[in-house]
Amino acid sequence: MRQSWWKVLCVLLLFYTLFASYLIPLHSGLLPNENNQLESNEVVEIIGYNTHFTEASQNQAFLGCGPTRFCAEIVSIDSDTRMNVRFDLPDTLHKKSLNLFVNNEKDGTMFLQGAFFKNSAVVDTSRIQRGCEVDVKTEKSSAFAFPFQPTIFETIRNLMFHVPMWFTMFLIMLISVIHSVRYLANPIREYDLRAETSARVGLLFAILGLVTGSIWARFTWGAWWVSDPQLNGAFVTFLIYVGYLVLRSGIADDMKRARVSAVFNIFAYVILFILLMILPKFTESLHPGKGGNPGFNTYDLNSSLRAVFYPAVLGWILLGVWIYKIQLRRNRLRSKLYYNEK
Amino acid sequence: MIRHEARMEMRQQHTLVGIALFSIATVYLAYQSFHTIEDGATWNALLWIILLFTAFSAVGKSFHEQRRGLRLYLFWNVSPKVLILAKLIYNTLLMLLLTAITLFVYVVFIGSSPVPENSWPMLLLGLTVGSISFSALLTLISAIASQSESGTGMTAVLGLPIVIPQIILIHRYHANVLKEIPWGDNVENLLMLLVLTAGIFGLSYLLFPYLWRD
Repeated sequence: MRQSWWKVLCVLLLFYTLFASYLIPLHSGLLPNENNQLESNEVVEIIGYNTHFTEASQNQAFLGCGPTRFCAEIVSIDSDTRMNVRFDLPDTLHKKSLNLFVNNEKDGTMFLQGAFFKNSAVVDTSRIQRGCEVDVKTEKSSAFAFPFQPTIFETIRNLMFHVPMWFTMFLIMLISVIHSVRYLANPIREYDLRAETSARVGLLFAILGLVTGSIWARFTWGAWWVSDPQLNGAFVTFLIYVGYLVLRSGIADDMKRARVSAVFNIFAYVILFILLMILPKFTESLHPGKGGNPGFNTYDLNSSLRAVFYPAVLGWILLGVWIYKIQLRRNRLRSKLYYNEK
Repeated sequence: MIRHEARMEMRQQHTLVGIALFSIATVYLAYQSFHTIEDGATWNALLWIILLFTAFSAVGKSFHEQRRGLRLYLFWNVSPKVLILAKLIYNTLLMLLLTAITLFVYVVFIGSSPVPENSWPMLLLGLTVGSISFSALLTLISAIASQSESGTGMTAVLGLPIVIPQIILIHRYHANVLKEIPWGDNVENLLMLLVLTAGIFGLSYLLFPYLWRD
């Protein structure tokens, strides 16, 4: 029992990940309105997500347009997520697209870029109209919740599943490569067994990473598969390790098999490393942190996300190592049986 | 050693001529389906696909054609490091020759209208680096694949996925050349490819002695 404390930790962490990532709510935010054409003094609807319009005592909404702000007259608050407002807008504007801000003491300040358009407005940057004076509160809601991100919304929960798969895969593939190097330095069957087993387990995590990523892509980018350096890299990884297993099955002599596949493993890992680490940095990618997209690290990996993400990574890595250990024992027994029969 | 490889190849003239014929026939096939290509992206993609398959059939077989006796002879008389260096250099030269032939035929049949006048030096530089990179990678892959029983099929299984990074880099470089993007913004693709190629050379040199033991 004393040696398996990490297995207990693994189960606990994964349970925590599972519950936390599904139960922690999302921060409140604003959803775009389908009817985003705005006219002066026309009643429009503001749609919130996880907001508390009725509970809050001081709702404040205003539009931002360049340096000018226009306050809303709140007509009615229908529910916690729906509010009807009216804006008094001049005919001359800084630009046609208007950003929406909603503020109350429950939800903090929420912001939606380009929420409304006033197409009838005359664009004139020299004649800036005076709007209303608002005391803009920038406090964030203190609620323990995941960040509300446009286009990602609730799918942010997938962060706890998709990203750790790749971390785990990389670690397990590293185990595989280290054992391949050790095999070449010192040809013992045990090293080959470890290299093969970890490559198989790593491949499992690569498949899981592809599947979770594909589902995520479907609901954020709109397609199961998109052309993206990260995705190319992931797919190539998958193909190369399938190739590794095919190569193994293609060589009958086991000393030779171990040696040749170790060489291929090292070769492939170095190329993959270059591909996955360096290549995406040079090109545009839809992934966060690449090609001008903000990374999760910069501003939106908030404390609640971190509190789940780091345990999730550790949990999945421990699970990977656990699967690897079990598989290794099974393969060891298998090879023992095989060589006894001979 | 290089001279030995070259002499071996001359003796098996049919294979060299065969591969040259293969690439010429592929270009002609492409010509029959496209006639002339005005679109830069298609021109580029087609050229690299033809070059890739030429590389697979030329370099991919470099270890498969050794007979058992020859293998033993080389094993006892030449150190594996010399052998892999000779193979790498010879394959690079072979690939450069084949690239030149393919490019010539390609330009003759399909034309070169998408290539801007003053981009030829950059295009040729890209082709040179690309061919060296392909041949370096496929030399080791062929050495690995020749150890398995399934022969040349294995070269494709192992080589095609692993060649994708190079294809992406060289393809992007060439697309940029055709779009006349300034040299300064494009050179990083070529440098990346050079780094990758140097890495492949280094790895081949280090790893090959482990393969060459029977």
